[in-house]
Amino acid sequence: MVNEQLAGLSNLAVYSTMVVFFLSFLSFSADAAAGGSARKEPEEQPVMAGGIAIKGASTPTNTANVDDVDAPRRRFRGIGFALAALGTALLAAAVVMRGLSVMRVPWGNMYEFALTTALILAALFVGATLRPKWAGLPAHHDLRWVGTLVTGIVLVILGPAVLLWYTEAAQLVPALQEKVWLAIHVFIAITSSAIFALGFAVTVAQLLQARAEGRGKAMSFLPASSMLDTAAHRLHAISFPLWTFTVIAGAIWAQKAWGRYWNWDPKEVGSFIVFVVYAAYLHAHATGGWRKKAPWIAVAGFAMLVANFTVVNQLFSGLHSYAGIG
Amino acid sequence: MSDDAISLGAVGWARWMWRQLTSMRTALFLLLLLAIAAIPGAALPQRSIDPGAVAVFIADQGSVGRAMDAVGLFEVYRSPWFSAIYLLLFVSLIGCIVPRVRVYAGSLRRPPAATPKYLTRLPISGQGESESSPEAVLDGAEAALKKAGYRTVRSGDSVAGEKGYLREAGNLTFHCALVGVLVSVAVSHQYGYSGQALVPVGDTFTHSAGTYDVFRPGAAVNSEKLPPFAVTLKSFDVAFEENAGGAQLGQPRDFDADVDVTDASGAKSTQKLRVNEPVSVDGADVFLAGNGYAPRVTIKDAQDKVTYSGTVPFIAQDGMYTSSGVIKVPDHTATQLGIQAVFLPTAVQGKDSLVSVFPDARMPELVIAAYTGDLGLDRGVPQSVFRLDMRRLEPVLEFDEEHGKDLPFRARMRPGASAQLPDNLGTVTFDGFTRYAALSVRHDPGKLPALVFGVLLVAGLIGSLLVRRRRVWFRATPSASGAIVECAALSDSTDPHLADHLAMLSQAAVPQPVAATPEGVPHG
Repeated sequence: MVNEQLAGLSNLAVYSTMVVFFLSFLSFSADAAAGGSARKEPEEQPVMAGGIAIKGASTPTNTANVDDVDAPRRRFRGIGFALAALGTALLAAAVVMRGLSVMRVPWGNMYEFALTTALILAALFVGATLRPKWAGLPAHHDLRWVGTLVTGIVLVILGPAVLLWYTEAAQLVPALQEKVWLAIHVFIAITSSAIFALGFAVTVAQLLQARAEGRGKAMSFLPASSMLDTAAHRLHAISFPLWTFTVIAGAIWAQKAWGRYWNWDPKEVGSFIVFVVYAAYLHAHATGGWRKKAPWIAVAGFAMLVANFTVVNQLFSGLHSYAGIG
Repeated sequence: MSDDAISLGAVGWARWMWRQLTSMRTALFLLLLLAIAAIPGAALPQRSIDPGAVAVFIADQGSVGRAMDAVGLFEVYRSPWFSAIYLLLFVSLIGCIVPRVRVYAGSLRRPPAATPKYLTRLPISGQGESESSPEAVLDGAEAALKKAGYRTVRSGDSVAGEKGYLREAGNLTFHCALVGVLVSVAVSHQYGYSGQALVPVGDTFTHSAGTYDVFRPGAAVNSEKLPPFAVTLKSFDVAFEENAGGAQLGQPRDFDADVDVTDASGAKSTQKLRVNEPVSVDGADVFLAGNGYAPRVTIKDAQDKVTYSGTVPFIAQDGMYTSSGVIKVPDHTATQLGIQAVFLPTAVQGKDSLVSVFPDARMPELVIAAYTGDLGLDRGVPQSVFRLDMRRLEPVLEFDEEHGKDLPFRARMRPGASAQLPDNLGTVTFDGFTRYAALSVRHDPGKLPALVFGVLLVAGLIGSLLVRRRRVWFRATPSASGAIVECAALSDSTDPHLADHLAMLSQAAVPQPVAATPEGVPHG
């Protein structure tokens, strides 16, 4: 039933992942801490298209020399990113082996949920760095400045996962043995959480940069706060529908498993609160006088998301209690 | 207060209040308030989920607990303040979407917005020259816009294009679907019913309001006219985790019931009933909501006359199925007898007491205590079948040699064993045990509409957040070499690639550019 050897290998891979991500975190921090010369934003050069000069458009010539900052910093950033990519590959191996060891999707308890969330987050980060356009970032910006935050968050997820939530590889309780909805509901919840986490990282960067800009000393290793705002909004605009879908898929499953699509179970309430707070963020972002406050609402939303996973699962008993340890 | 304010009058004030309520600021405030108001419902025990936990909490907290109860903190989602917030929010929402639907319907009929006079003043804009005639440039621009999915309109020296109408449609769909979900929930509440019954293996549950252990009908449900179907629990198999250690040991792995279902028309069928696999009959769904042990007990008086014999469902208290239950014997000798019992499926002597270490019945034992006096059954107040009303009961005592005094009577029994009650009260026999299934029955006419609105909700949201509404204009005026071309683009959302998009359109629109100067900005 349970392949102990694979489960053991998966654990080893998790430990290795943590070491690698820690080194990656140090490298990114060194990059951020080095400060140094301001990174030159590419000049606003009109771009020719069909004989028409377009202001603000990007072309390959605009991106060529962006990383042309002083060499040591670039090296740290490069090492950090290479380590993050390696860590992501290791984590992917850990998650896949965990799944194979029990022959089911690897998100059946808190430990596995945390592991997979960290993997999706790390993979999104690596992917968004390799393909900035997907993250809604102009081509001449990369995500490496978020590296410190993302590797930090990955470690903050993996730490308690290993220390507090570790659960032996095993089969699931009957309520979770619904292959289709376990695969859909929980996986979308994980993906959405990971994108919310990425959005949170960008929002924190935005708030720090906005403060620095207010003092007239914008941080050179971060893009302008307006650009960070755009990226954060885009990430939230992707994860919010995913979260809504998570809640609705959960309701459909609840109808099947418990006979009622909405039970006001603590987990459902928590997810509902997360939904409401992020809805408020999106509204605030679209409302003139509230735009400056919007990032703070996003931060509150993420705090709720984290509480919904940790506090609600571990302290409040409800129908989702099996989602806790065990 | 100024004269203006006074002169508003009643209608003016009403309009002012309405405008305040439907303003985005109020909606935002209500949204955040709703989030905060929902928190106590997750943090505190709620009656709708666990009435027992609420009672314990109130008892522990004393007057603070009672005060919390008075303001509805244990029934948050039915409390007036929570209802007030969400009802205001929905009124605000409706007040917001109704005018928007009207505006949107109008915008669908109107052609794209006319070309602004000074295109190059817009942040995303450009200008250049073409060797083609203005007509050819505009033809090219219109074709490029059409190809990119724009609605276009030509007027004079310019062409205007607009796309992304699905954005607002999605937004409105999302908000209307929210109202739809609320209405569906209300329908479930009014016209639905639900109930629970504990059915031991071999027993039949006949559907009617009276046979439920708990029955919750909606306000518009006629409890006399429930469909008379019947469910017989033929067999019930369980499996628990035996291999993995730690918290996983003893976790349930499989609950599997075979049931005979007889519907209202008398048609009979045998079906599987499992968690996640409910059985549908006569518009109701039957769910396997829980399970437990039901010991079979026979009680005789001192004259060997049977005063009680039956199968009693016990309620599991923990993951190892340490189960508790009571037996009430109103006609036992001169006094009434109450038995309080704990069933341990795999009993092991712990430090202080007997504990169950595994949920399956490997070493079952029944531990009983006895009480005599008045069970309180005749007081006309409905009583829990899972608890003894201790107010007029005395524990049966027994002399304890070790302590040298009378202590409450306790007896441990394996299946088949009997225990002699002190004071010539007779015997209790633990004949054996069976399992029971907790069946949850629900009729919910609101669930299908709720599902439909839920799907619309997500679909609308995706359109609203991921579709971009873009407007693009091209203007071409004659020049010596061909045409001077101006273009611009606007978006009503964050749109980092708008300039690239405009560049792409320009490329497609203007086939024969004048050779560009190195600076890239030809002089018009």
